[in-house]
Amino acid sequence: MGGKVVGDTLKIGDIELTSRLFLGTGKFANNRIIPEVVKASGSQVVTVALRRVDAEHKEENIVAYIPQGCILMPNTSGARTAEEAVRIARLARAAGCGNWIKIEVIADNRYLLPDNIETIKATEILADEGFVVLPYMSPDLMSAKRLVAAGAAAVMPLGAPIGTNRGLKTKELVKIIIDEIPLPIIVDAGIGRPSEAAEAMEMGAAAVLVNTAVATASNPAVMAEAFGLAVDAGRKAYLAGPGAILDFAAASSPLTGFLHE
Amino acid sequence: MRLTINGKQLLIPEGLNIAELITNQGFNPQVIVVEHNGSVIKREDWQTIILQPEDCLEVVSFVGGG
Repeated sequence: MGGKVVGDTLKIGDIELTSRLFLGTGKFANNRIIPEVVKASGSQVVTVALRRVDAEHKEENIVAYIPQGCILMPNTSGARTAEEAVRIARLARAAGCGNWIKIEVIADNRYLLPDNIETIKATEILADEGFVVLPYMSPDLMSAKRLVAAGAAAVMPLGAPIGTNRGLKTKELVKIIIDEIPLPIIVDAGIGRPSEAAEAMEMGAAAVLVNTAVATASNPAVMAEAFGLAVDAGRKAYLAGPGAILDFAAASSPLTGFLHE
Repeated sequence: MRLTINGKQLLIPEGLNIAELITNQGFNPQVIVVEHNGSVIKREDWQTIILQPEDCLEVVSFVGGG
């Protein structure tokens, strides 16, 4: 019944993942619930951010809340240029938690839409330095092609602006990227409901990255589980090969042997 | 002497190395990363770098993020 399709793994860099749900750790009302939430989600990739430490107001060590065995994917949030993203990535790697990096270059404060050009530049530099680079991007096919050429390990187009829970508003553009780009396509940002995660997976997304939808739910652990189930369901539907969509009715019952004949 | 940590100016005694400054300022050395004048400094090298006037340090760590 439940669970995943045997042998269906997602390879990113040298790592084979069985979970196709990536989870963010921002905005939780209490970080102490993060271990339970990650477990409930089944996620194997968890994102974090890098910030200045205030020696007078010490924050908790977020890494201590992330279950062992998860891959840590620091983001470069706060970067407004490629140069700043590269600097953050190097600092993140020096923390000794692996070489995955989510590139996030944003100079627009209202919609937090990424700067694809700076993102491509940062991807090229960091891929050359041996990072496993997962760039967050506005869904644009040519930019995605340039990210492939720059050495990205996956491409992460947004579904809607960060933190909005608005869903897969960019569906048509993301579908084009899935069809044309020979890398895993991970829908990142904007996914607000498990049904929207399933929708992304049904159309062939390799994975979905969710944070706000889980962190701001009344019960984050249950919502995390719901997302895990939805991602598995959507993936299974994609692998099963959905039937054709028609303009007119096509009877499901036989059209012979009616009582009035 | 004066230097900058995380954008704030700070007066410290002369002759301190990075490891001593970290302890001095109450940072938890286990969870931080240090950048010194634009270069990331590995933990094992903290003791070898004596701080100079006007040095610029960034002390960062991971926080929740998406």
